[in-house]
Amino acid sequence: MKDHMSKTITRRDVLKFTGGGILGIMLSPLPWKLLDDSAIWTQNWSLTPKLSHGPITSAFSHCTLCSGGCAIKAQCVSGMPYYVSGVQSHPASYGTLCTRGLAGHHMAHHPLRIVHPHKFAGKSDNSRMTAVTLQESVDEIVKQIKNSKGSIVILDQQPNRAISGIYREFLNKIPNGLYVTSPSQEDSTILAIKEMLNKPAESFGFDFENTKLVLSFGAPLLDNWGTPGRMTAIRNSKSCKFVQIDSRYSRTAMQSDQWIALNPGTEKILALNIAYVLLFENLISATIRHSAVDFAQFKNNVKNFNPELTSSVTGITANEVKAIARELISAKSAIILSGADPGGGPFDSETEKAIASLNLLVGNVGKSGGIIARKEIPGYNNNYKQTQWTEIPEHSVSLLIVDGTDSGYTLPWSLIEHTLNRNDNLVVSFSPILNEVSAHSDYLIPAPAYLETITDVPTTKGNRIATFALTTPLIKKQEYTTEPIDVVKEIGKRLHLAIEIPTVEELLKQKVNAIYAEKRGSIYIYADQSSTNVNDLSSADELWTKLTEGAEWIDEECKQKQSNKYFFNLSPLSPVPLEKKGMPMIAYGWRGATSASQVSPILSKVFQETELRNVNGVISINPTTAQKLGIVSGESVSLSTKNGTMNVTVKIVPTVRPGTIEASIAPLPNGIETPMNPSGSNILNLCEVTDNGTWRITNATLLKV
Amino acid sequence: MKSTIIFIFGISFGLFIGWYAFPFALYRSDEQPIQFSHAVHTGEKGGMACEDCHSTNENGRFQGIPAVAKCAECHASPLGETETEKILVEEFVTPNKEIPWKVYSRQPDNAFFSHSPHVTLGKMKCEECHGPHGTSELLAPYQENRISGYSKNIWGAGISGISSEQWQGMKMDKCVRCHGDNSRHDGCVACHK
Repeated sequence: MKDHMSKTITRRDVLKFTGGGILGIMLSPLPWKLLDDSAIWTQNWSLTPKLSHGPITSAFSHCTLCSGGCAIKAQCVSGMPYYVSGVQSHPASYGTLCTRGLAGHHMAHHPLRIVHPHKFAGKSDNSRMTAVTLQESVDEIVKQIKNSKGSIVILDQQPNRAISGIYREFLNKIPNGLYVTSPSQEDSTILAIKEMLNKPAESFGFDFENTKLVLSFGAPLLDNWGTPGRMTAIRNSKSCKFVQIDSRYSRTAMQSDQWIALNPGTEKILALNIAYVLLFENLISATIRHSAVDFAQFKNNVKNFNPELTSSVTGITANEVKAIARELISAKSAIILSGADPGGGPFDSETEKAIASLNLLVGNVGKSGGIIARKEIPGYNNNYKQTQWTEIPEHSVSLLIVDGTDSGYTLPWSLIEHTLNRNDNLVVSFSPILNEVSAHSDYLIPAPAYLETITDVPTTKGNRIATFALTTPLIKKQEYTTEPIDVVKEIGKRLHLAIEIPTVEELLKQKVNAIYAEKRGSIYIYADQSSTNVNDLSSADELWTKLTEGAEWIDEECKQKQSNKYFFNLSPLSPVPLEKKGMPMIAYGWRGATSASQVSPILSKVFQETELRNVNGVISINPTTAQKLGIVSGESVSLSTKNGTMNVTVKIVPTVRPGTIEASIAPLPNGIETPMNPSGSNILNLCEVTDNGTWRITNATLLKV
Repeated sequence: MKSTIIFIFGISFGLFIGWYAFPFALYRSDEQPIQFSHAVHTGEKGGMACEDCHSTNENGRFQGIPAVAKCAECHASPLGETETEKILVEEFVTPNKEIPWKVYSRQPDNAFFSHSPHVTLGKMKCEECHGPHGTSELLAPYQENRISGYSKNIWGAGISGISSEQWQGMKMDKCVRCHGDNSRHDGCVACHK
């Protein structure tokens, strides 16, 4: 007994006690509670951004990430938006927001936010960015304007805003001032039609709501084009037939009633094939014949485009062309438009004219369900001479100011670069974030991010009625940002230009005063879904207050008569197939029109994985092409064009046309919206820009690495 | 015999650590910025209902703890001579500064909970989840879990997390059980948006 109860603590006793202790702990909630708390702890890293706690409120504003003009309702906590949704009662968007709009409130927190004016020591070299003062940046711009003999260009990537008018006014006051925009515009068909009309209306819109047939030449109509909610509602109503002519099985082609797959780069030939059938099968009315001043010349130009003879070029049989032409007539109302994929590049002007001329031939211009006249917003003048990129002589630009509101994926840098003076050029970017274009600048002046400043939302391109709204700021403007208009004002002051440049708010109040002075239209208030005639408002201040609280000014229906005289003004053409040197590479904007806008870096969460696989650096080819070249899926190959070579990964997709390459211009592989390291490559910069200012098709070769 | 006793002693020690000492170590106790008596407001003297202060806004969104402006409706000047009343008026109501309450029921940011469908559509009473909080004389100290950072009330008063009271604890298993019992949708995205 004495032995058994020895007072000596042995190693065995310690182990027994420890074992008992562990068993005791295991029989308590401690392990499970620790496991639970540790799991929660892993969700609470100090680096995870957290919303502050406070009262939850909601506010109305408008999206300006593109020109769609959708109304948004933001849920805010302590005044900071944390969730954005569409506004059900908004007359154009019907409560729908596109993916970029839903994540728009992230933009102010973008990791590539420019937080100080910067100078790039070497162009495109992010590592050599040095902070400068705003004053130093303005000094440099003023010095460049004073000393240079070349052109001074402002690239406005969202034209038709109030500030666009200021840019044009400013450029008119300085020698060699040129105003340019991104070449791909959603209203390119309207612009082409305006050129053809003898006395065009102030503006035009597409009457999709009353049309029976929409014939689209590559326009991403059902992929964030125009006001996405409007297009989705029209598609869902099945009130009209969508026919998509596209050499690529695009998202719009997938959702359309009919996809006509033509050979790449043959849109002009197909448009003139349709014109041929309309003219030579006598499908057009006598009125149309008499309205066209140059009808005989046009018919003469079109006679070479017999679809029987060109079907091998376009890949569309004569019977198919005839069926399209007959359907355009039998539909009674139809809209034929292009407005190419902003990422994939614009059509050349002759193709635009050929497509636009079909609207005149079938008598759709100025007719319900066609392309109808609309008035401009009072105080806005968008009838200005816009310089095309192709009109700018090579190496003639001394100063380029980029109003950086887009993604940077709508314009190959090579197109800009060849206009810059080789020895003496300065590129300045007003952009809230570093993107593909701003990364090429000499000076970066950070502009306020989306929802940080008040801006105007003019009529959406293609809208049938003029509208006007304001983007009410919902996020506190950062102190390091400068309004582009204030920079222009400072430059004007330093150059002693005879121009009065107001502040943003003053400028917008001038526009609101102009609307009020016209007493036209009505104001639609989202909160109570009420509508008040502008005539019934007591003052312009009342109109301003309503607009800042969440409302839209909507114009009356335009009763303007359209002039019945027009000129096709089409150059003599012959159906020449594309010169083939290698394989045609079709660049396209990832998610259609989305590629034109800055997008949130965490937007990827809303996409399917298959979509995210189509990054810049991944190309798609048909299985037969792959077999012919001996390439397998996932293989790394060398993609070469006249502009350079890039190693890319191959994806094999049966919907790609045999013998062609499809290449998405974004997102970039190193992050959804991260500009390329200059040592890397970019599909957009491999695209060859033709003399016509288009980069839709580039001859490319693939070589196994 | 000796080793059995030692082993049992070890078990007892483990149980003591797990059941008794561990909760003390796990939670940090903090007082609320000022004291508040729900009983004074909801009792006979005050006669107020929960929703008089914890209301929903025009969008049907539950407003949680009322803003100081709500307190100011009655307490613009001190009601009584207590120290707490003086602090309330001088430090918060007069300068219109929000009271930094420590919220017992705050859920993780990745859990979406809306009071409206539960209270308005589900006709649930406040007490079903919050217990007798509405009749409490004093605000209990806020006990913060040192690891997770959340209130002890989320887990429940007992360290085992087991209680016969429905309002003890606000963990996901409670939500899932109640949704299951009432044949309500209980998919992941209902709460984790």
